[in-house]
Amino acid sequence: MFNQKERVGSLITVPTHVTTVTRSTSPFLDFEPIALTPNPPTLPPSCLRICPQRGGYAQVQYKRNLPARGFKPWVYMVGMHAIMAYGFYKYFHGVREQRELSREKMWSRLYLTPLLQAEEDRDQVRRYYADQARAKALGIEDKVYNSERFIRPTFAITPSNVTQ
Amino acid sequence: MAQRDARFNQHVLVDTTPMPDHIPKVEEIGATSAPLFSAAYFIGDRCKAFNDDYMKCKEEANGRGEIECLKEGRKVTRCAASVIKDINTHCLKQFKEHWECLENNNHYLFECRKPEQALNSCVFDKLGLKKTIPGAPEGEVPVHLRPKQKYAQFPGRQY
Repeated sequence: MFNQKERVGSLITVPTHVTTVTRSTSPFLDFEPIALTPNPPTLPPSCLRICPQRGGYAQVQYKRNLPARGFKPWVYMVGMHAIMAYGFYKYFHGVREQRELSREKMWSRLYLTPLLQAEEDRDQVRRYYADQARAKALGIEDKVYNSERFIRPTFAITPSNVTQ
Repeated sequence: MAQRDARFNQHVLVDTTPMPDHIPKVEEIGATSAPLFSAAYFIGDRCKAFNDDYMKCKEEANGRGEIECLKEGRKVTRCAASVIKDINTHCLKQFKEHWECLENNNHYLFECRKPEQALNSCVFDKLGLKKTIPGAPEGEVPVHLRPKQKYAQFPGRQY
């Protein structure tokens, strides 16, 4: 753009510069770009280096002349918060109900636990006495564990054929 | 010697030896999960003392509770059996409806509020046993008395 051009009869080189504005007529652009053309060679004597165009520059169009679509921005903001507030309201109520439901289920299990445990314990004790009787019949009197606690047997002695 | 293969056969593993005679016999509860779940709060209401007694005995037996707490365990089982028997005598229809509903709804209590309501009122009228959920927040309707159940397939009024 700054192709220097020597003028006849002068020692000063004057850059040719941005001057004239012409309009392009592109159908795909909604604003009109500025085409640049070099300055005309004659200049006023007081203005040797960088000078405005004669008659001034035309207005540069930087705004898009389009209508703003939709609502005002704060409407979207308020709407988003309203939707979120409603969702959280429903969520908290759902969580409270879930907590109560789990409490209900838990207590029903707690009320049944002694019953189920008693049944299981009786079964274990029955097996324990049966094991003791079998061991006694085989002549084994040893204690397996050095402990007074009741220990569920890890290995079971199975009869060779199905009893009963 | 090495020819004794391990047998992982449940059929053979069942030990059918009966309980020795010096331990009193008790009939087992014999109910499946859904009826027990349905009657759990009534069992808890009537048998709370026996249940607590048994659990306390187990805790204090220091690991020997299986043998030492057989007596308390029998009481627990007899008490629960008495509740089931009473419900069967007086509220059989409602009881059956409720536990069949539970059976068909993945044991979700919130799907079966209508039969539960019928069962609860019948049991309260006939047996005087009441379903209360301990620890539920004060000043709120307990979840089993709310007509609307948020998590049911039909979340509106259940009855």
